[in-house]
Amino acid sequence: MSALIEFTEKGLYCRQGDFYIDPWLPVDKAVITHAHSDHARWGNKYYLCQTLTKPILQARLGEGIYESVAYNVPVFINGVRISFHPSGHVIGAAQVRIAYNDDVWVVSGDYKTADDGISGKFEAVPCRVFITESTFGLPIYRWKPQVEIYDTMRNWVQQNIDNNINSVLLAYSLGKAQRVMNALAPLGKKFYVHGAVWNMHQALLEAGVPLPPAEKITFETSKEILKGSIIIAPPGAEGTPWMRKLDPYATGVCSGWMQVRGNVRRRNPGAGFVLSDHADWDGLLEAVKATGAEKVYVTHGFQAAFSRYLNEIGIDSGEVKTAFGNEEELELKAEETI
Amino acid sequence: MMDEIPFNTNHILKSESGLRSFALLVQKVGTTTKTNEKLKALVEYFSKAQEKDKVWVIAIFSGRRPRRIASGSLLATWCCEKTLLPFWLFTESYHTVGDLGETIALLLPPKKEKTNETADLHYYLEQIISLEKVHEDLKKEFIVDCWAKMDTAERFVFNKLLTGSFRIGVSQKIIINALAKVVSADASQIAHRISGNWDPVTTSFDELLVHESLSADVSRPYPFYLSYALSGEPQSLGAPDDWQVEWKWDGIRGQIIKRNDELFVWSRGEELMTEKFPEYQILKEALRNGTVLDGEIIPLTNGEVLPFSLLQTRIGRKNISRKNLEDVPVGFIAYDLLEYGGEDFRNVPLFERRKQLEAIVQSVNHPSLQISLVIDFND
Repeated sequence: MSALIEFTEKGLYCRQGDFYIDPWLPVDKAVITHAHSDHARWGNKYYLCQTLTKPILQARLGEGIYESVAYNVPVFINGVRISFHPSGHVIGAAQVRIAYNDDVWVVSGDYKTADDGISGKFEAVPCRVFITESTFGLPIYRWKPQVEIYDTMRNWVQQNIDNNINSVLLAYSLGKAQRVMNALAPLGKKFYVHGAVWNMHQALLEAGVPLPPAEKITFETSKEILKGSIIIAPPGAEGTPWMRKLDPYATGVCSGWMQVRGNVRRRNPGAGFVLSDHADWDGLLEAVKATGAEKVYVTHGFQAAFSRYLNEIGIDSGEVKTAFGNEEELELKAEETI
Repeated sequence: MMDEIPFNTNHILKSESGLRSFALLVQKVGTTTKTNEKLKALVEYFSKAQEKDKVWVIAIFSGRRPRRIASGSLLATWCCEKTLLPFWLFTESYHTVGDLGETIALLLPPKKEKTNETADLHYYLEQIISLEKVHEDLKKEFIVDCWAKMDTAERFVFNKLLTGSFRIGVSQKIIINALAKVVSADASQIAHRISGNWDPVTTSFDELLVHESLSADVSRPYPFYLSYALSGEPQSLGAPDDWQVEWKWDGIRGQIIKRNDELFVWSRGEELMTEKFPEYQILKEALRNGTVLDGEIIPLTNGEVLPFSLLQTRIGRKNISRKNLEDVPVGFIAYDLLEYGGEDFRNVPLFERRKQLEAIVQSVNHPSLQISLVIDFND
């Protein structure tokens, strides 16, 4: 059986349908798993994505040809059946199922198996070949239940409020920022947000996603008004002059990398919250097994280790190098600007 | 200045066992670089913690920890057995984490809900001491059982206690300042009290820091004030007249203590080295009780200083032969007088200390005790 998806220098390519999935170089037809910048790049002539991803792509990439379709609704390109299935990663994120002549491949994009309440519940999609991410593909990464992490975050913010300190949460503008708002909404405090977070917030509100109200911090926002508030900013804002106005504040970093002490020490935030939009070790294994795939390709992350482990437990696996960074790593390098 | 203590990130606060409070303390002081926050966390800990645990924490932070009872590779092997992970994956994880104790803590399956609370810190330390000489299987049984009952943060500190490698970013100075605050004493007194010979198993917190106990350690040295290079210009020191200038000698900084008719020799590494230098026994007779000299342990022959490398041939040896003593005779160049007549002399002005020191060296009148010369200088 010839490969339904090939690994090319522009990205994952379906020859039969002549389209790419999350290509990293400009192509004619791009099928997009989700709107993070390492998966949805600028410059493609045509984008196909899940319904909720479309407004985010438009906000991020500007004018273009975007077509969207709901989860589980098939689209056919030259006889290839394409469908999107919830990946639980961020709002609108999907796994892409590709079927042709009884062969089924699934590209996971990024995913998390635990339900965060806003990104859709991860759906196991049976397939012959599964292409999985492995951002946190080592057994040291095991997440606590979301309720516990949210509880800890609320306690931390409350402690800051009691001490008259502003709480600055560094969270990626798509995904983490919305989760943080949901986590902290019960405190009844107003959210003040960085422009990047605000743009995303607006795009999602316009798309009909219910989110707590937030106010953009602008040049006019006074220091007074920020007192004791909750501020959400992308990691890229850390250490920039933009932060000066927020003083006095404590910084909380929300990232799966906070699992390891050394990373917390290097960042030296007031608090590190182990909050990730990726599956942990157990989640990855569970997802792979649930597909029943006879072949698993492991991409971005700890692909060598995870792939070797899969082979050892009897699941035929190979590692594939892709140009997906992962956005949590980018978070650590802190780059985002909109 | 921000005043808050970095929040424990992985765990929700609840009433805590001794081990748990210690784990939280380590988490707090280990994830901040702000001295004030470290100090605050320590003060909070020492104000609330269980008595025996506090003593152990002082011991651990000042380098008095139990002997290692299991090697890192043994612990790794047991961890792989418990988790059913292949060893290569353990190694892979270790490379990412960079710390063996933490790697194991993260790899072990989560503690089962409803498991009993963990015990106090001193319980684990005493167990570790009692297991020093038993068969490996018994050690394993204890350790694996402990792991199962602990959460990640507790396992981390427990593993650190087991492997005897506890570097968690707190200087002795911060500990001393925290203790000084908690017991309302002078930092220099605290520093003095926690130096020297004391056993965390038999010493209580009050004995160590508060009481004028009869059994107080007579050998206890004062903290060493080591010389260091000036980072600014010499002018930054102020008027030359305010200073006394002496050579810095290349030996081992030491203190000679005469108390209770006994003589003790300490090196700067807080190591008791009395037996290594029989030459100093003459001082047992010649010095009065309640005298502490600060100076340089150095090879001397007829007042001439010998190279430092020769001294190393002396201290490296377990037994010192007559020939060693003849080849490399060791003397002491006194810089300062820290205690006199049983009184802490450190707050007495330098010129008075010097006068008294000169009188002592003169009255001893023995070639193995020299005084560091004061150098004349012009600005």
